[in-house]
Amino acid sequence: MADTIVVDFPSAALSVQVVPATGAKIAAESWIAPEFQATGSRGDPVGLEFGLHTERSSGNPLEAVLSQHANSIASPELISRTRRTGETSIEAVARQVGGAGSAPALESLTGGAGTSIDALLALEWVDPPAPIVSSGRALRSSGKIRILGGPGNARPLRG
Amino acid sequence: MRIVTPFDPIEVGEIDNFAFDFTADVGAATIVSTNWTCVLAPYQTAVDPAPQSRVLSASRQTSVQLRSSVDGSLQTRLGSFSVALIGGMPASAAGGTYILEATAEAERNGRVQATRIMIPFGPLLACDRLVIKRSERGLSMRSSIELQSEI
Repeated sequence: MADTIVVDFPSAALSVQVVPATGAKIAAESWIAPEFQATGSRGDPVGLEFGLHTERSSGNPLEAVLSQHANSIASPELISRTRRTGETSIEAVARQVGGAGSAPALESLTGGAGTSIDALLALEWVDPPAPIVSSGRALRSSGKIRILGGPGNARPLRG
Repeated sequence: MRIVTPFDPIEVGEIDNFAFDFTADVGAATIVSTNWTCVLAPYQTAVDPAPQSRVLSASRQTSVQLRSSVDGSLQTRLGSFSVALIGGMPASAAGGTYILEATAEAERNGRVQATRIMIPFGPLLACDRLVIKRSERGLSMRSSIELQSEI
């Protein structure tokens, strides 16, 4: 048995016939929104979500996918999943640069700041150097301490 | 106690590090603070209106690099040091004698001995002295040595 749900759109009223366990079937009683035309033209009872998944797995560039979905009802979760598969992070760029064995102008991504990928930047972890003292200006105590007195000594300056 | 070897002379306007090695006195304790004083020795014609200002900075160090006077090579020495940056003596102090005192306060068993020692200075005739006061809680040291300035 199928139920009929009427969805009100600002420009048109659609009647969506829901078929349990098979998906949504669009029955257009008036002109339909553009985002439903791609699905409806195939003649298959596929839902909008299925169509979006098909496009995501097509291997198109990220920009193409985003432009295709610019007027559709793509959920934020889907966009985030698409962005993750787009390999657009700075880490991905660094991996590509390092794996290619060449050094393209990575500075163009950092606003002109110099970048180094494989260099050891250990200088900032080094302790500050000890002061330099001339041997004639460093005097050492022999350790023969002179005990002047304890707290109870009446004459504290006398050993 | 007397330190036999004096500091090397310093020239007018020269700035250099001076260090006292308190390692033998501190032992297993740790220097927690240090202070240097600089006065012009009495009974001389040299004039320095502000001798204390010749102590530019002071710090406690656990290592210093000793520069050999023979070949200039550096040797790292570990221990308990009190290091001060001394210099800027005026031309009016040429030929005079300064008395430098370094006080190091050491911490032992987590407690600091904060008592300072009053050293009765008499007429100083190239007298280098190191006086240490020890107590159950810690020890405090004061060392003084002559600093001869020359032109």
